[in-house]
Amino acid sequence: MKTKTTCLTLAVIALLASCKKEESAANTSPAPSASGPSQALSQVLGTSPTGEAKPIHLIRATAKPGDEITVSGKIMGNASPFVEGRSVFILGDPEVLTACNEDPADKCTTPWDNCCDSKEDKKRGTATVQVVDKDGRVLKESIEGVGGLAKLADVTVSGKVAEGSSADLLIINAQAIRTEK
Amino acid sequence: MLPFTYAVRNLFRSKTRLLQTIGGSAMVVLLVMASVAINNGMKRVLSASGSDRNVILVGAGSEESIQRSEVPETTAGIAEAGVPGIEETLGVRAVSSEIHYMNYIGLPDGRKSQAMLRGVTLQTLRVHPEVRLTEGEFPGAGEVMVGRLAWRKLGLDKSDLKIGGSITLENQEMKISGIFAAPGTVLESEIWASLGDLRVLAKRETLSCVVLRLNDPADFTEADLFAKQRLDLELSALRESDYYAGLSAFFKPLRAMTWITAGLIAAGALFGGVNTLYAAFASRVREMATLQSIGFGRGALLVSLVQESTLACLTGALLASVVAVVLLDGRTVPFSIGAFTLEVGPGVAITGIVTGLLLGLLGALPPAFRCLKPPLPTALRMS
Repeated sequence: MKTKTTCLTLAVIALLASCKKEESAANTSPAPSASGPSQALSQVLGTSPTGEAKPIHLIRATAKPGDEITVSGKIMGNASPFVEGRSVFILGDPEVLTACNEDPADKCTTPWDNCCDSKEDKKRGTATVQVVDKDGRVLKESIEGVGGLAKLADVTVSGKVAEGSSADLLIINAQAIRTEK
Repeated sequence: MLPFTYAVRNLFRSKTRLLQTIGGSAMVVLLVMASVAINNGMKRVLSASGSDRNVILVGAGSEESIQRSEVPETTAGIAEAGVPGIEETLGVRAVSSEIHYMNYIGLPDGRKSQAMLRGVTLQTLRVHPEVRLTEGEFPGAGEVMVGRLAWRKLGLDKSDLKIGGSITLENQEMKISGIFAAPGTVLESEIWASLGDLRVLAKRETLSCVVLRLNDPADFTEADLFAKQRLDLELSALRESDYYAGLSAFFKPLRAMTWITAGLIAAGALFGGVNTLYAAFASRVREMATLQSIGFGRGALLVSLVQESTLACLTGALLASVVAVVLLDGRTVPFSIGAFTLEVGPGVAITGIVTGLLLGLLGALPPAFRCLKPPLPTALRMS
C-alpha cells in the first residue's frame, strides 16, 4: 500500500510538473518611467485646478471647443482607462456611473470598467482627458501612476475643451490636474 | 554488472507478460502523445490566427466576443482617416469592415451544422495576407467561399464543399464560388460571404468589427488612442493576437481535461504494470539470491531488472510512435470555432519516449526493491 501511495504521488508530481506556470496577469499599474515625468506633464500635474468643478454629464451639454472648464470625476468608464505610452485617461462621472467596487456584493475584478452601467450612461458620463504639447499633440509618455493617477482615483481637471468635441464627445486638453486624497 | 543480454533474454521468459507490458505502455504513450499533439495543435492554431500587426476595433464591452460586437458602418472610414501607421499599398489603406456571424447552415446532405461565417469585402485580403484563394473566385452576391478545412468543422466529406456546390443560410441558397487557404489558422474553417449578403441574412445594421493592419505592431498605441479619443463611437481597440490569446485561455480547461484524462489512464497503467511486475519479480527472488551468492551486487541486479522493464516500455513507446505518425500526424480535429491539424513533431516524439522511459523506471523500481530486499539466506530458501 505504501509503495502504491509513493507511486501515485510520483505520478501526480510528474503530471503537475508538466503544467507550465503562467505569470499572473495582475492588474498592476505600470511604474512611471525612471527618468520621471516630462516638464510639460509635471507642469500640468503641479498646477491646481481653478473654478468650481462640475460633473461631466452637466458640462458636456453646453461645452464648446475652446471653452475653459473644470470637471471632477473618477478614472473609470473603460476596461483600460489609460493609453500605454500616452498622456491620456478616461474620466467617469460618479453621478452617472457606478464603479463596481461600490457594490459590496459585486466581485468584479475590473471595477473601473463600469460593466453594470448601460452604454448610454457610459457615453453620457465619460470624457477623455489628455495632456498635449504646444503643437496640440498628445504627450508620448504614460500618465498612469504619475502624481497618484490610477484606476478609480478621484480627479479634478481644469482645461480647454478640445477641437472635435460635441454634445456626444467631450475631450479636455488638461492644464491642471489634481488627484483628490 | 550483469550483461545486457541477460535482461534481453529475460524479456522473452513470458511472452504473454511481455505483450501485456508492451501493449499497455504503447497505449499510455500513444495517449500522452495525442494529448500533447492536441494541446500543441489548438494552441498553435489560435496563436497563428492573430497577427500582432492587426488591430480589431470592436464595440466597447464586446472585447471577448466579436460576434456580439456592434460597430457603426462609418467607423471604417473614420478609423482609416484617424489612425496613423496603417499599412498602405498603392494608396489604399488596409482597413477591413467585417461581420462575424455564427449560425446553422444547411449542408448538401440535408443536415444542419453550426458554422462560423464572415462577411467581407476584397479589403479583407489586405488585412489577412495569409488568406490565399486556392480555387475559384472571391464571392459575389449569393456566393460564398469556403476555407479548405471547413468540411472537417462541418463534419462533411471534403468533396461536399467543392466549387459549384451550395449551402443554405437563412433559407437562402449560397453557391460556393471559391476555396481559400490560411495555413495554420482558424480562418480556414470559416465560410466567407460578401459583406452585403451577410448584413442582409444576419439582419444586421452594424458591423461586428473593423480590422486595421498596421505597419508596426508598436503603432497599436495609436489605434488605442483613437478609440479613447472617440468615445462617441463606443469602440475598443484590441490586438488581434491578444484576442486569439484570450480564446486560447478560454479553451484552457478543455486542454487541461485532455491532460487529466491522459494522466489518470497513465496512472492506472502504471499501477497495472507495477502489479504485473510484482508478480513477475516475486517468482525470481531465489534466482536473484543465487546471482548475489556468485558475486553480483544488489545494485547490478537492480539495474538489470530496470533494464528489462524499460526495454519493454520503450518498445511500447516505439510502437506508439509509429502508430502516432501513421494515424495522428496530419489529422484535422474540429473544435467549436474551427479545426486544427495534429502534428507529431520532435516535441511530441520526445514526450512519448520520456513517458515510456518513466513508465519502465517507475513501474520496475518498487517490485525490484521488494524482490531484492530479503536477506540472502532467506531469499535462497524462498520458493
